[in-house]
Amino acid sequence: MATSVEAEFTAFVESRSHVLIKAAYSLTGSQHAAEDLLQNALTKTFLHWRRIEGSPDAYARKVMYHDFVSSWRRLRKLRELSFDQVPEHSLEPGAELVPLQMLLRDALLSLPARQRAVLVLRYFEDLSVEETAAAIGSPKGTVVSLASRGLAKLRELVPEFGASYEGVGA
Amino acid sequence: VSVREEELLRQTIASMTSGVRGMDGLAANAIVRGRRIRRRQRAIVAAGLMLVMVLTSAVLWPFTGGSNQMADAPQVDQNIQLDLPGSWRTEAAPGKATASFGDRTLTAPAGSIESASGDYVMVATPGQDGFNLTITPVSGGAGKTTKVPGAEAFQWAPAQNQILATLSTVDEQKGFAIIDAPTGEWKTYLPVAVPTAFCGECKFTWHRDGRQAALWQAADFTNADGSFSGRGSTYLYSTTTGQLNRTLPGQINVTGPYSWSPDGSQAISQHGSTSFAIEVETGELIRQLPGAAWYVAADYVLVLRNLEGKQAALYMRVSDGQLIETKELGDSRDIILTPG
Repeated sequence: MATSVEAEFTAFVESRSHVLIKAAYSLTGSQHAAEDLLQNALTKTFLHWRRIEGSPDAYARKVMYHDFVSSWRRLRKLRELSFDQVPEHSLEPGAELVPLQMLLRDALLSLPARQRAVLVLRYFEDLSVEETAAAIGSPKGTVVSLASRGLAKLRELVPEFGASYEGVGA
Repeated sequence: VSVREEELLRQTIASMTSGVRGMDGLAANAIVRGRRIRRRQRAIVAAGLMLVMVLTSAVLWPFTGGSNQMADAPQVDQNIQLDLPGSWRTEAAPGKATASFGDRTLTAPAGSIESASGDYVMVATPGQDGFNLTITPVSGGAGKTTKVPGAEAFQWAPAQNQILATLSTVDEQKGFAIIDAPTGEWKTYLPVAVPTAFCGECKFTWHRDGRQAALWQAADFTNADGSFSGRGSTYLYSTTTGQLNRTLPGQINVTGPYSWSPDGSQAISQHGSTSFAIEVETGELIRQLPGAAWYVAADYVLVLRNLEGKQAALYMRVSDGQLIETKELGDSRDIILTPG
């Protein structure tokens, strides 16, 4: 019979896992690596459940981002991208961007772990610079620098992405 | 970061995660693992206490590594066909060694390749001085074996029953031979004017017009960071005289006749896991493509994207980059392009 802690934790996972697995995937670019990353983060979240102050969702994410950055050497082996599900038909609005997104995705997943984590936190999780700094445990200046270097690398690897930068302006 | 750039980045990350599969048993696994870790921690603490208190024994709770659920591999239809304009189509072809062109599919053994007409099959085998080439009529009859000294690579013409062979001498002179399949006769053009300063692997490939050979150049094509450099040039030779016909601005890493658009105004330069559609007269980049690519019709390309050993065929329009259709092709090594 599940205890109240286990029941609370189970309810939390059921309500948030679909979002958390996406966050994990955006970091790793691999289904299996994302599953491992999330599973480990949830295990740590369960272990500290009673002591978590504030949102368990934020706690799980913080663990996930921290684990991802710190275990980058291990995850590099899994850096090859999966392309399990490509859109069958893409004649919807914005479909012309899909190939560019593929190139950008490859480039994004080729970035060093911290640069990628910062870009994902800023443009997927919609975190501010301060929140991103707290999530990865680095100063704000480091976050700004990592984001800047990550974006510059993306522009180099995908000229069309950089063209949008030159055309519209910073 | 510009507004469009930020929007594009958001869309990319969002699209990355759109195909993510959910996981069953996440909470249960976390709880089981958590309990295990707690037991281990308690056992370690207990053992330490017992050692400190000089107890006689300690019992460590046995534990094993956590289970790791493996997602099921996606089921792939091995008979996928992708309809393309002009009756082109693609087929996943497990076990086949090369691409083939023709109005019918020939089950060719590994290492062989069918002519565009479907009338002949060639098999190249290593010899003492380059490869020996055996050309066999599909209709039956004995094959002819041709020994072309210094031959390194062979490629069927886009229409006629001719083979282009790249030649190389011990002192690194380069040239090519044109082999006539019905007769087995061949004519060499060696050496030809090759810009060795820019020459990478120096393999000659057919132009789409079937009358010219292009020099396959790989060196100095990209910058150190992998971006498109546009440097260098591409050389086109007459396959009837061996003379240099013209030089195109920009190195275009063409791999065969279908690297060229039907009118020859555009060409695809392949580089690693990406490729570039290029305006041949100016050398300007038209579009970066997310995989190896070939023209299947004017302005339309087939892009093969290979990730984790799985292939996906993307049917794209070059002018605006629109993705028309995609097919997952599984782990087949080669794709057959079949003009109807």
